[in-house]
Amino acid sequence: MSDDFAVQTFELAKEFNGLRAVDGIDLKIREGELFSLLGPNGAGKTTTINMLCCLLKPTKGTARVAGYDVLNEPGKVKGHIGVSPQETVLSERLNSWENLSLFGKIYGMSSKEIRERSEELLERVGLLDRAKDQVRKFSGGMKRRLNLILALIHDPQILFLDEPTLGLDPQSRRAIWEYIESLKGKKTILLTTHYMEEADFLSDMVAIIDSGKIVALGTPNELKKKFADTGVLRVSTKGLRKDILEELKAEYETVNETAEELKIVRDDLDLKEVVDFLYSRNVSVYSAAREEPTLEDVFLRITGKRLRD
Amino acid sequence: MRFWEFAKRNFKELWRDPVALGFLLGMPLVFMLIFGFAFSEEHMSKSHIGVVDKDKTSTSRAFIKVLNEIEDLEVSSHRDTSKALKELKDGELLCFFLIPKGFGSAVEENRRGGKMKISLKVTYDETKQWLPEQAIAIVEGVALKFMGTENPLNLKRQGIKPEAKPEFLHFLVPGIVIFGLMILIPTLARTIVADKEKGFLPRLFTTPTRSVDFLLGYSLPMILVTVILVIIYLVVAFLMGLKVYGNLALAFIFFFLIGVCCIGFAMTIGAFAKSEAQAEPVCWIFLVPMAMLSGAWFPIENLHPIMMNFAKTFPFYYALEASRRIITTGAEFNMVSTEFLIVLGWAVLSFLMGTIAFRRGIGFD
Ligand SMILES: Nc1ncnc2c1ncn2[C@@H]1O[C@H](COP(=O)(O)OP(=O)(O)OP(=O)(O)O)[C@@H](O)[C@H]1O
Ligand SMILES: [Mg+2]
Repeated sequence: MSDDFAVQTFELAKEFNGLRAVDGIDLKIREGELFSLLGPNGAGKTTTINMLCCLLKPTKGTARVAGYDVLNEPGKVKGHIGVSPQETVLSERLNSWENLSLFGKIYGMSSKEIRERSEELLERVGLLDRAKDQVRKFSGGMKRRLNLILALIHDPQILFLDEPTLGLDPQSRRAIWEYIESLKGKKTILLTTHYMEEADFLSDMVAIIDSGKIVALGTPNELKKKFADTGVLRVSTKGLRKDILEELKAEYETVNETAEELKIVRDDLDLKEVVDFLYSRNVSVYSAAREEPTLEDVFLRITGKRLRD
Repeated sequence: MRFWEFAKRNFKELWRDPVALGFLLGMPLVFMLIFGFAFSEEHMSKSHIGVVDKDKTSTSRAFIKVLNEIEDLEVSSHRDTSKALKELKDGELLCFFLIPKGFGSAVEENRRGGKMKISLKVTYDETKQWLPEQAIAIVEGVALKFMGTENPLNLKRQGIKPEAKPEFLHFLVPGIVIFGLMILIPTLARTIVADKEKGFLPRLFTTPTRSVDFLLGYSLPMILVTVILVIIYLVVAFLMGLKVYGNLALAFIFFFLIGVCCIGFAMTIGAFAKSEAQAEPVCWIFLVPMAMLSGAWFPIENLHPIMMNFAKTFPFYYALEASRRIITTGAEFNMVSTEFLIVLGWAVLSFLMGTIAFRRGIGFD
């Protein structure tokens, strides 16, 4: 039955000298699905991907990718995947064509195929003009874009994209989103990102991972609904003093202040209660509205606000 | 042909890196030039010439005495031409002068206003290039002054090619070639470790690249570089006056095998080193004693037996011995076959070592 899934993990775990980076996770990714793995820094996202692409040996458990076991048939797995690593990895003294060609040839593509595909991809990410420059002369974002298309040159069935839009300007990020969206349904994609709107926009399924464990799983809408009892209230005020803010913070779980705006998050939130509270302390309320929680609210709520290592 | 693509990539990465390339090429060339000229300076400061006095008059003896007083010259007298020629052929002399019979009377005649032609025959070592020229020029000047005439001197020149070659180049060139090839070790080890550290190798591990692809991908470009380096070093050495008596191809094979040894060592170090910062010193700790004890810079025959045995464990000493003998005395293959087997054995062994290390030190986990 496991063959129904393009990627499936079985109590997959990885320990680094006693540190449980990935702690027995079971993921199921359907063919053609775009699956986002979200989680704070150090949650174990990259470690998971590294095990799936046969770079790291799991301490426990195993995984099947494209129908092959990562432990027993890594060669087969590698033939079906494309990996865009979190760290930008390129051959610095080669130009873009040469970098793409190296990877294309590794997958046994012909020179003609490589040239056509490279041109298409370079065009997509706006690097065609600079394709003859040695890569070490590129800006960080340009390198980042090349880093991504290196994983796509051979048109793999399954894509592992570890923070593909890290460090990109908004235009480039949009372009990459559009491209990834155009692959939806055709490719199985496992994506990690810290941009919640990116995950919301692109994902069929989202898993939130924290300290090596899956803590939430569902479609973006499911997750938002599931945590919809988390009320989010956006209040625009005047005359909010510090002591009142402190009082609010004591009462409600999350209070975000942006200039004159407050964002209040709490389970079973009552709009009237908040407004009354502010009136009673002579704070003028210009507007107050309930908001749908975003994926980011869900994320913060699930993983807390503590900073990670 | 994945290895071929990877090999091309590695060659380009080195070829487009002027610092690495300059280091690889430049350091041995600089050594060759510095040492080459340093040794020449020494010869120049004490030009050793010979004189054969056939005239045996007080005038000829006075001429020799004047020559002896010139600081730049070291003059030795020889009873006959064959003795002087032997010394010249042994490389002891830069040149020798033959003072013919009648030299004294001719000089006396000219001093009284005569117009006698005076002959001095000089035989010199062609291979020492400008060094004999310098000595001849000094003698010519002294002779003109001594005879106090305008230009009656008839200097007959004859160049010969002696058996023994200029000592320093023989001694130096094989050493420098082998030292130059040793620089392949840090160059390649650094590349491998950088690829590992910066994630390039891990990235390739997510593709269907096999370990044999990595092995060939790293070694092939370096083998090409080995050939290029040996050719460049030899060409420069030839320009500086090296003459090869034996079979150059045979010497080339020894250099080539040393290149292969170095590639094997580099892959071993590169596979195990954790970072570039670690690989570099490890290479030099290995390299400097190896270079010293190979006999590249000084003869190691007088070293402490422990050091000698250590030096004779590694292939560098043998390759150096063999290539020196081939170049200077024209040794045939059967005369260096023991050295050949040792160096070949090391080349195979080190490459095997590199292969195993590569599979162990890099890869899964
Ligand atoms: N090679 C390693 N050796 C030791 N510990 C490691 C290694 N790689 C990762 N870790 C640890 O495993 C944990 C998970 O790391 P991982 O890189 O998977 O996190 P991540 O979710 O990708 O984080 P980020 O969002 O910052 O990329 C971290 O605590 C990290 O320190
Ligand atoms: Mg990561």
